[in-house]
Amino acid sequence: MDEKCDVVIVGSRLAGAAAAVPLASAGCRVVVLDRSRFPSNQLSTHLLFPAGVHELKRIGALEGILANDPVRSPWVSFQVGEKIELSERWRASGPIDYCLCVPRTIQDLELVRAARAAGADVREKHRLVRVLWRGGRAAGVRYADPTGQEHDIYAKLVVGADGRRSTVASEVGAFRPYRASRNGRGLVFRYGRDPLVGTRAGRTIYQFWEGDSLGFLFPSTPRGTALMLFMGAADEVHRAKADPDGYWAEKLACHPRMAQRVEGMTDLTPLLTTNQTSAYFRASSGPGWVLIGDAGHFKDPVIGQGQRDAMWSGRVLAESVADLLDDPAELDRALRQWENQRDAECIPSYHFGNIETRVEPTPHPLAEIVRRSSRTPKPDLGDLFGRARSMPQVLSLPRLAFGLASAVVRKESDIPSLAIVRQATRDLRVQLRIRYELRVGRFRSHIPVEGSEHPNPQPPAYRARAKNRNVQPSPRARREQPQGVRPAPTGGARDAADTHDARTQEATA
Amino acid sequence: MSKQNGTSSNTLLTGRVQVAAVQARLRPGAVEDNLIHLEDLIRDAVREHHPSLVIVPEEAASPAVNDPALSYVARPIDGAPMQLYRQLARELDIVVGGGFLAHRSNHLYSTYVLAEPDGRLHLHDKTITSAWGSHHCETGRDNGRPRVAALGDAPVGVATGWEWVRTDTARRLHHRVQLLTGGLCWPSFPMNWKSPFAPWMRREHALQLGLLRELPSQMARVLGAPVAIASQVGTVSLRTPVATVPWRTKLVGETQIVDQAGTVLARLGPDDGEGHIGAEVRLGPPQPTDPITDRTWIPSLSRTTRATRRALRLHGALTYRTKRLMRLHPWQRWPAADLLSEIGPGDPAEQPVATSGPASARPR
Repeated sequence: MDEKCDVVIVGSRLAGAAAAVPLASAGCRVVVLDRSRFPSNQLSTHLLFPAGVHELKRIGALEGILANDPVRSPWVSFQVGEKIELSERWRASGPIDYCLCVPRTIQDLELVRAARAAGADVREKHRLVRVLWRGGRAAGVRYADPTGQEHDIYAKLVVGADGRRSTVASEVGAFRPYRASRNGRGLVFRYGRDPLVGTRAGRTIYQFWEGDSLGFLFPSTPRGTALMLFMGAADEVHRAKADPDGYWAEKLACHPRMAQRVEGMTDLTPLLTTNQTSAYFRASSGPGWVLIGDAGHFKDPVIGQGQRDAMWSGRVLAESVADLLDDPAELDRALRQWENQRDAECIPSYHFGNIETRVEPTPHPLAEIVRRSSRTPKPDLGDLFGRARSMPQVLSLPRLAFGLASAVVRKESDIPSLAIVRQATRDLRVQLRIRYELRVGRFRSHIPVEGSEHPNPQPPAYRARAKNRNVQPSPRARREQPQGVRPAPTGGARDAADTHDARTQEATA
Repeated sequence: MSKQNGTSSNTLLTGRVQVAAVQARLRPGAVEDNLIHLEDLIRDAVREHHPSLVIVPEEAASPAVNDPALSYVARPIDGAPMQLYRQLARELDIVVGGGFLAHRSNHLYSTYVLAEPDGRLHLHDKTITSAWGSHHCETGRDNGRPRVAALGDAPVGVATGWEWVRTDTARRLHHRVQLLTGGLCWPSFPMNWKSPFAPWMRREHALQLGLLRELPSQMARVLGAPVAIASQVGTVSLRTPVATVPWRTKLVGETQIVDQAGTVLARLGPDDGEGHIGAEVRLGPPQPTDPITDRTWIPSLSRTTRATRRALRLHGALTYRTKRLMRLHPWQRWPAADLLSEIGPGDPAEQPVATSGPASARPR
């Protein structure tokens, strides 16, 4: 007999667990399917700013994570070249005023535990086979259990929280993003043992802006571990793979302040890399289905907002629909409004990520803003990452104008003033276009913002699977199928890709 | 199906196509139930008739009549009704045609969809709102004659509601289509009104029955092309504008498949209840036998019908536009987006999605 529930969620990591907890707590019968067995790793920036940690607390996973003794980092330090340094506290999000950097093996396990504690039925090693439809609405899913046996489960809402290569997105026809932007930067990172553990430096998140290269250091979990990360041009990833030690030494040489900070690090892990991080928006809601987390929207990891936004999107979705599951029309309306709300929440940081991923030196006006902000330790520029304020709020037009004026007057570099003004004018135009888009507030706007969105994006490629696996072809189709026609490619290619991912994840672990 | 020179500049085709039409009894306001019911009817029709094209009525998610429940039946252009037609076309490997009240950008339209198995979509917005439909939607502007690849790239005309009786529709499609298809949701005159109106209303009702019975054949002869029309049937209770007495009546459209000479190949009348019919029609160069007259309407409409339509349309258009300006339509709470009216083939995993912004940049 077919099983029934209120909500079936595919994927039990950040977004899936964040949606499962409020729904289950509201009394809904929630089934969560995940193809992994936990603990399981996942490629990730691992960093959670205060707003992200606050989401963990809301889910009920924070206590379990804190039990793993992570470093709580209440400070952030921005270092621009060798002369400008800004150190400030994070602005609190609710009761949380610190960052965490937790490996996903630990974090996702705690999320699953939290979902189970709230009453969700989390089933590991269960693979989605297809979405079931009735009357034009998603009506449930067919899944394979660990033995490979297939079952149907019917639900009022199907939630895809299964990441960038979302099977749910392909099943509902939304796999191709309607809007995307190519990343300029690649990620090269490793863990090490931090000799400064216990000091203020050991509890500070560092960002080093050196020329067109970015360096980061995040105190991590367990205490004493730190994540070191370089984001240079995406092409550098190939060099890092070919000559890891040479590349690392080269990056430290051009980041003297970061080299100073990581001095004495021991137990360095091998380098890990990725440069496939194009940002995108997919249509994320439809009749009876919704895509949350990376399944619906992904932004450049250069600003480290993915984890927070995944949890935010899951939680807000659950809060929006928990009372509407019995009214399909109202449910669909709420799903669409949720998508609109998610876009309003994420578009400023999407553009911020697109700007940050440009492989260019720090703009002079921004450097001046950092310099001026360094006069006070009060939370300010950290809000760009902590999401207490959006990019247009933090980098207001008067502030940008002031930064430009200061840069021209100070004239510290060899660059002519005219060039600084030209570059600032270009950046200002981008900022104005972003503000215009936010003000207009279109739903699923596919109009690119020139200067923010980069051409030739490479979002995850769809790999065709067996067409309508359990749908019997019509008599006419059988009649007309030419002899010798081979079936459409099956899941082979996709499986191979997933295996590759799994290997990457294992490497991360 | 082979190609041969036709009478217009377009290349026309010859061949035979099995067509099925579904006559449905649907409940006003019950969109989700109606769509499930339609799915069953379509599957049943396909099992029985093995068609290349199956059509269901216009406004099939819910009869578009003047009823408070109708405020909630509009769905986004990429909503459940569209998904139903699109998915069944792919799954059953046929062309599926059906209508619904669609939210497109900032208006509602009575949209009729032809969905092809390879993902192609052809959308037609009704170009003349009906007496009751004017309370719910705006008129469209497209020409409603897409080329349907699954039918050998034949140009197919689409007409819904009052488009079926309008001479302009014939002009729009004359010598340009090899098949005319679409649907009806046509409430008749009130059956519950007492004397002195009762005999008058009964007479008008009888006229409507006769008019709609003859209409598909008339249109076939005017266009010289076969016709397939699907209608809604059943009884409905409407809210009479500016009056307290309800307007209880029947939906009186016919479901017919007619060849290009106007011969009825299969038929279901309003009293036959719901069901489906199937017949094979020949697609060929259009060979009109009846002229297009200078009159507004193809059949002869009674004065009462014309006056009633005019009054209801006026009331409907005023109501719709006033509520829209004041943002009182419930569908205005949905974020607005739109699809192009012609969408090309594509993988089912990567369908074009409804977006906002200029149509020129919309996904195809």
